[in-house]
Amino acid sequence: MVTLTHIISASYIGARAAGVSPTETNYIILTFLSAGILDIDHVYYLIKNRAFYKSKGYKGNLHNARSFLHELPGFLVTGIIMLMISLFNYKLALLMGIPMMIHLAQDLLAGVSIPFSPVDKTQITLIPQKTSYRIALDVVFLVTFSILWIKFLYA
Amino acid sequence: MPKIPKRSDVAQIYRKVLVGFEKYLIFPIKNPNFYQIFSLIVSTLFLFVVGTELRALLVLSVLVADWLDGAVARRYKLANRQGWLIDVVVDRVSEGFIFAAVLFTGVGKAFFALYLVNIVLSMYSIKSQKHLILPLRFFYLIFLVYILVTKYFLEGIICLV
Repeated sequence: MVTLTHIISASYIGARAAGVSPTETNYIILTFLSAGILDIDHVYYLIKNRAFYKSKGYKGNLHNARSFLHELPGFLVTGIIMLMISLFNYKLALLMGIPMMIHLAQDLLAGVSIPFSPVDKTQITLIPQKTSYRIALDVVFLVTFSILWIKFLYA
Repeated sequence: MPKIPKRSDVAQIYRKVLVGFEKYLIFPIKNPNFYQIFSLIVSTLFLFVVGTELRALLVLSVLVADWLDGAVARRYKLANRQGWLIDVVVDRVSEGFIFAAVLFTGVGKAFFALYLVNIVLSMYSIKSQKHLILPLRFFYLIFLVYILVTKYFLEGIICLV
């Protein structure tokens, strides 16, 4: 999924799960950041392996441009952060953790994953990897959650 | 070539019972991944649910979906290592959402900590080819049922008094 879809959809789920009100702008910005921050690791790998992506293209190859944080160990890191923050602020823990977890779950759902990397390099997919399916999924998420955000903010 | 690890002896007992039931089931959808995706969606819904009854119902649905995906794979000879890996990772994601939703309670924090341990155990299971994963959602369902039984039992006593 593209980063924008993650930001719009994962942040909404995080904000609603944490019970944020539309006036709590700082919290809303935090959910946007949490939802998108994991995609920073793509940038590192895209720059590092730019020759490969120049020749092969990005389509169908982006799952290689991920660190272990984008797989199951990412849930472990996110979970540890959440558990520590929840000891003094439950709402903040959900705002930071849920968007990240949703982001990882969406990537697992939509694309090719190597969930047990670095222990096991087996690739898995939950849905057929047709470009049209993936675009449709992105559009559905983006449109649905954009509408939900607008409804929430103007409620 | 890595294979699907065998379950523990304790797990084999209830799995035999479940496999017995599977013979009588009719599956409308023959793709195990459908049940995994359903399980992910229901687990996400758990973040928005209030009330022990509804929570117990959702956990039960997730567990049934988890059983059905295996049942479909066994029935239609689709069981393979990749499917097992999907099952393990989806189970961990599902646990994450379920226990994050109850992180505000002491019991929720304890379950969440166990969930983190379970991720490490899952990684170890993959590496060592031994199935060493805790059935946390099943334990949590037992806990919810215990809460419900206690609640209704106490309400009954109060009504009688």
